[in-house]
Amino acid sequence: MRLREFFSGSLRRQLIFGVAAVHAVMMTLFVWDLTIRQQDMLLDHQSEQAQTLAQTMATSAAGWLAARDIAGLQELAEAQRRYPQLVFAMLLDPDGKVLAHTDRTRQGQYVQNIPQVAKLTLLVHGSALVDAIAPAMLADHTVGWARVGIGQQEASKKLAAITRNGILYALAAMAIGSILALFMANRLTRKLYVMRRVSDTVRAGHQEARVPDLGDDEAGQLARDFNAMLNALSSSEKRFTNIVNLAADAIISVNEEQRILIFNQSAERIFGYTSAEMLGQPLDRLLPAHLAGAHRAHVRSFAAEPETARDVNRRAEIHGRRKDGTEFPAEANISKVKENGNIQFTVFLRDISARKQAEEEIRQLNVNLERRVLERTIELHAANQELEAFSYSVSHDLRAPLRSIDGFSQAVLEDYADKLDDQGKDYLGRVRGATQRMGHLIDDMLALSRVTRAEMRRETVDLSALAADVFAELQKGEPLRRVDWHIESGLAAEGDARLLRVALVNMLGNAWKFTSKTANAKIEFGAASAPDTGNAPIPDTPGTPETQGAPDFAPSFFVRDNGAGYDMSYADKLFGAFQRLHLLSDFPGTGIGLATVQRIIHRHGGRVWAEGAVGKGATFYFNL
Amino acid sequence: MKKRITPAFALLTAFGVAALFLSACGKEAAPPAPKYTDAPAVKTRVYRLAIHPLHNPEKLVRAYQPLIDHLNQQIADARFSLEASRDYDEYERKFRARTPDLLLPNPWQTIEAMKVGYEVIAMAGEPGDFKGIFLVRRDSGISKPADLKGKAVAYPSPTALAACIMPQWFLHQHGVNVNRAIENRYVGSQESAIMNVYLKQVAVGVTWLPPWRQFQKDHPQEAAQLKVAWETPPLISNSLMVRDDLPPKVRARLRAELLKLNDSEQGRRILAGMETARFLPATDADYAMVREFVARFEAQVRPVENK
Repeated sequence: MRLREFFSGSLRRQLIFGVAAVHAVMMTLFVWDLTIRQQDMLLDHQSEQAQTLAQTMATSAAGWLAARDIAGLQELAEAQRRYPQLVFAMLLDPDGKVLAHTDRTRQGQYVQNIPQVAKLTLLVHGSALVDAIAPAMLADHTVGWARVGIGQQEASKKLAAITRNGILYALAAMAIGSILALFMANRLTRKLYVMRRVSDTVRAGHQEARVPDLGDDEAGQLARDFNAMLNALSSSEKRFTNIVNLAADAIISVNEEQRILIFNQSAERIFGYTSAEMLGQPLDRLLPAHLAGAHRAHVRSFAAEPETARDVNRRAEIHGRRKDGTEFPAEANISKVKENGNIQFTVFLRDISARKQAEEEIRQLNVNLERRVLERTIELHAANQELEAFSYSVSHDLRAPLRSIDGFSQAVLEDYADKLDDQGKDYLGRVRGATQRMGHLIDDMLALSRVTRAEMRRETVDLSALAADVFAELQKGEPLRRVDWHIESGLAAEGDARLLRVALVNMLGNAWKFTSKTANAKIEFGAASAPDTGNAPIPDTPGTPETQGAPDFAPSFFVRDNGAGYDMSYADKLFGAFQRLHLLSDFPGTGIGLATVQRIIHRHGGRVWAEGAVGKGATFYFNL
Repeated sequence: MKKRITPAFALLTAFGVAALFLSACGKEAAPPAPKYTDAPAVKTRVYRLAIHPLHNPEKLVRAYQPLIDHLNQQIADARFSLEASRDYDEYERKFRARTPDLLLPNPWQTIEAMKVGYEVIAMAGEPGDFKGIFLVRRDSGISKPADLKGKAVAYPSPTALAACIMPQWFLHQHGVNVNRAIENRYVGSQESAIMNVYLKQVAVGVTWLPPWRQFQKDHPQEAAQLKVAWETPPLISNSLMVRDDLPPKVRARLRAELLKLNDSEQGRRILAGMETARFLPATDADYAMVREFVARFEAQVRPVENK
């Protein structure tokens, strides 16, 4: 392990040993290859020589071997002594008996390893000896053998010299290569070491340390990039510090031992400790004593779970403990980051004492408000009931004298017609007209009252059919009138059919009435799919915030006519009760109709508005 | 205390190891020597048959090795090997030293070998075939023995009976003084005698029929330049002798195999290769006539050997 660390401990060492290793491997391979080649070449050369010598001897000795001329064979064998490096030369009979030998003491002995086949054979082909044997042939018959051994001492010496020189060259190359590698490594890594020193300095806390200009090579570029990275890191660190310190929440980081690593300014403000007091301290100091154990358990369980963030209040309401020992309710989130095998927890904590207090105050206010609303509702209900009773009573009670006035006026006109002059009759006629109008007025007021009080029964209402029905009734009332009606088919809405009929009767009735003096009268009932804001619609309740200028995305229905129209400057009076914009002599009416329409539409949660111009007709819009 | 390994220390260690390796490179291993024993790997006794040098060794092996192979095949408990000789002197020195176990000598050598303990067990070839021949170049113009006077004559050896003694006796009979009228050149072998006349080194080359037949087979172009001028009368053929210490069983098996060679196709092929008609039963007594002939020759012409 130590050796491994030594070889791979630094780039410089890796470079030095890498180059040395490359030299060693390359030169070893070179020397090995050279030696093997030389050895093979020498051995081949010696083998060829030995085989040639053996073959020559065999050829020369064949006749003498056949004649078993021992003396001649011995001369022949001894003649080979002149051959350099000759170890032995012998001539054998076919059975391996030594007939002649450079060592005469061997004559008469036998050699065992005679080849089975009569052919030139290398018996030994080693680094110390080449031993060749050749058959002596006469008429294709083996008459004996010639065997020679040539020593390799000289060849071995040459080979050893070659190997030794090769190794010396290899060692020299390794040494020179290592020295060059040392210089090269020092030169190449010098700049890296400068950067490493700066890195150590920065890590030691000197954030301002930077690498000096190291030139334009890769290391210089790396140094510039390193400085840029440090600058970016420094900026990021500042931003982080600012964010942490400016955060409204307390930000507290702890390690796995739950000792505090970061304690921002908000934490100082909330807990009353300074950062210097708390760094390295256990988190328990910021918790009520009775909650510290449970909190530690929560943090441990959080560390063991895969989730990386948790809303602490999800499990229980938490509390903090200030330096002065007071406790406060808090809201916190905790997150964890695993770095270098260690988990760091960060808590974002907010003192919610004020919020808790405000919530309590709001709750109290709501209780009071609800109580007051209930009281007012009861009061309003009673007043409303009284008002309606009064209205109904007034209307009902007014009808009886009116009927008397009308009835007696009619009786006078009928019974005393001969006693009255024309003026008297006219006056009585006017009395009757007035009482009848008042009767209509009372009817309308009762109808308006019923509209307000009637119970709503919502259902899908076919507005097209309803409008057609109303038109038929109007036409029936004045069969001779010719009005160009156009009712868009398929219009429907959710609402009370009875009330919506009353609304349409009023709107269509108005159109029927105000076109009575118009040639080519034209009345149209339809729907506008988009809100009509470009034509400055007249709101039904001008000045009320819920309608003024608010876009209306519900389908709008309209009743349009080309009748008398009205002056838009009086538009605010259109939907008021008993408000009339035309002379009674021109167009009869009580001024209750549009007020009734407005109430019906309001009861449906919709709104109604109108647009028009004098002599150019009017259009009434509504939605539900 | 933790020790640190410095780069210098590591490099020194590496160089030290390399130096140790370097020093080990100079040591040399002793060359491995051949292994010798005093006994042959094959224990079966080898009987060496020495053929008189009627051919040079290669031709001798080609002619007679089939016989050896045949004997080795037929006689299981003995092994036979062929032994040539460089010349007649060498051959005669060998049998006088009793080194060969078996001999195939010419008739004169037969009677010499008897003196040192060899015994005839068979005759090699028909007796009528044992005669000397005089070879001359066809362009030599030599037609009768008297034409040889003053010329050189080649013989294999002075002891060759058919190729020297009998021809010299023939010349002597035809009035040529062998010792003074001609130059006698003993050229070592039958083929050498033939080649000498072909190469015009001598006027006549003397040999006997089997070598001449072999030469005609081996060198027909050269042989065509030559012709047989005269033939000597036949005497007796070569013998096959065994040393007297040969085990009787081997001797009997050997004689039996030789005598029945002519009975088989394979045997006849072997005999043909040896330019030998067949092996005939013979004993030492059959060669007494040779001793008489040599005695006459030595008395009238010259001693066979210079003693």
